[in-house]
Amino acid sequence: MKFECQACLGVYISPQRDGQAYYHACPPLTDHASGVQTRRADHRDETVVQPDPLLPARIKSEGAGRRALLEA
Amino acid sequence: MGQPINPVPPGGALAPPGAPTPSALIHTRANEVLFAQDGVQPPSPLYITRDDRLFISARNSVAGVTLLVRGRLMLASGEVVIQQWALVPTSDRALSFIIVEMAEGYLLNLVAFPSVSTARRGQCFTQLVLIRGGATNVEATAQLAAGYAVTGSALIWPYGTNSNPTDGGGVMRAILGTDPAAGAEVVETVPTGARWRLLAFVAQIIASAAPATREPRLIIDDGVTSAFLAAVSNALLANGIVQLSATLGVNPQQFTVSNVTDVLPLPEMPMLLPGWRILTSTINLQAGDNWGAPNLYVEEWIEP
Repeated sequence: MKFECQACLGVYISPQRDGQAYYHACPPLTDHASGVQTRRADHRDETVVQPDPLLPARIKSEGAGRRALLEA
Repeated sequence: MGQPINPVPPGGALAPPGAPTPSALIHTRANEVLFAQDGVQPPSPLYITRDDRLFISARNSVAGVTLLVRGRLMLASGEVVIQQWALVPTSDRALSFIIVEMAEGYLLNLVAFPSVSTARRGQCFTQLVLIRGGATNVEATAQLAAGYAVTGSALIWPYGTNSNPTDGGGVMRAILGTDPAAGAEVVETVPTGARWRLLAFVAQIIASAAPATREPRLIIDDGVTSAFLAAVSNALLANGIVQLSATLGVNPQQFTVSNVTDVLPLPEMPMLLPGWRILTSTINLQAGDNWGAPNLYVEEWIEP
């Protein structure tokens, strides 16, 4: 499926063609006047963490979420 | 030299007609090693008590895999029974496990293999461990087998191998990364539980009409500290297009046909741990400049 991150508006596909999941993480926000990069306030990071092996893993940061896109 | 006495013709002499056939001697020798056939020890060094349990775990990256584990156990009665367990690991490389009871007896063998979906080397790292205790207080007592459960090649005990997840080759992957919005950089992060060897990276940037002298750069960092940086050889101007292509074993070079392609060298052993990033950092990036989705070619292992 194709998704659009609602934080950075990046578009990505998960699972990939080989069947493995893709874990999106937002790029930093660039101030184009100064070139300074900062972390987005609603930063989304889908890489997983599993602090307790008895519990399911979860994504690091939900951020602004994502929405599914219709694929052509 | 005179004539031989009683010369024998070629092929040997025939016994004279009517003479008895001489008896032949048969030279045989019995085996010197004898085997007991009654009251023998079980053919296994692994006695399983009622307190021992089998910990079946996997870290897996491919969806839909069911890990089947079968074992043959000789009970105290001498009967050999077959036991089977199934683990459906998650595909996010997190630890998935089950703890199973076995009867008292001698463990003869174990075999573990993926079913339902195809798993390649580098995708479903499996461990079979004898433990005492339960899920909250696992105490490993013996590791029986560890390695990738691969379609077409089972993980076995005994006579199998115990390997680490990063031993040997991994799975080769072509990854299509995130297509960032205009004005944003490319950032690809190594997933949790994975180790990547970056073999090639390709991405394209289309400059907006805004006048500026851009300098696209490729960076590898651990999330904070840059470990590698390479820049294109010529600046990118308004309305220009640059394809940034990085791979192993090349010298920096630039080709221009319809677009400019900058070829950059990667480090010889670009091993990236979970959380490490491959990203662009473009000097003078403008709000309308647009990076496309990058293509990455990586070799991947499970990294616990």
